[in-house]
Amino acid sequence: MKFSKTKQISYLAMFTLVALGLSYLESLIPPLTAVPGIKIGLANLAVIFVLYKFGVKSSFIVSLTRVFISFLLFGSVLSLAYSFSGAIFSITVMSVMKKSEKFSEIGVSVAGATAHNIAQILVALLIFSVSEILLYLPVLMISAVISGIFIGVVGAVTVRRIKIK
Amino acid sequence: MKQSNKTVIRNDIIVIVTALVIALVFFVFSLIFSPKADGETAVISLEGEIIGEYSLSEDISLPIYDKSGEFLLTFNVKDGKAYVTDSVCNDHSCERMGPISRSGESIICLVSRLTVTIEGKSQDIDAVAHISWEVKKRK
Repeated sequence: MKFSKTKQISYLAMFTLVALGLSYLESLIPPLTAVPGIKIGLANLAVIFVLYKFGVKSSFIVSLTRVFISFLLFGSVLSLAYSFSGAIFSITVMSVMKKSEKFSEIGVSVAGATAHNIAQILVALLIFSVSEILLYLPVLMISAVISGIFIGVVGAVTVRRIKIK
Repeated sequence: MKQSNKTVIRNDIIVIVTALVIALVFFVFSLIFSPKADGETAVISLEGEIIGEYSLSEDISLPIYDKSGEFLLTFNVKDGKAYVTDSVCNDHSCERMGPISRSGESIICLVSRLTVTIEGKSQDIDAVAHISWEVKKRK
């Protein structure tokens, strides 16, 4: 799909806010478990939507801008390191998989979610240099698969239903 | 080139199964290395530096401060188990990680870069030196 530059900028700004709103909404949900990092990843819904409707470059812009704004609003430098690494790795994986056209939104979303968690574990490993952190990986991966399927299903529906003109 | 629906579903399932297999491999790995023995000491490190080591046999409740003297959290030992309370961070995930008592278990507070790890054998670290460090930080 091709849009005029102005339209594209407005849309991307809007979806950045949607992503920001979703991550705020998610922060209101009390954590289900004691393990940090287990979450639904609602913001990824907006990123997947933009990836499918506007392409790779746009989804990078939306995701990284969201991470940066939420850092300015609520974060610390350390949380920025986690979020940025997670976001970059996750969109890279999702973009490659989307480009291959071999997977649906569900496969893309699951891979994105697991990539996000793996990147964060690696950054935590770099910062703490405590190898026990790796023990969190199985739990985080399973949670990523579950939330990835959920976001993928919802994402597939929104990508099909919402028409961008 | 658009693939048929069937191939796409099959590929999606491959992605999901691969992720679960990796999780399983790490789970088995973690079972092999899982903490079994009861630990003896709780080692507290802040930003990678060990700042204190406390025996699990004595009950204590100790406020921990960062290098600029800001209060971070309270470290507790009760009935042979270590846990943290009163964390100043927003998500309090470190409080939900305790209590821990087995060798190799740890509490990790990502926000303040503080870890509490249970170790099996007491390493000869001068406890008095660490207590004086704490006292100095409190001023």
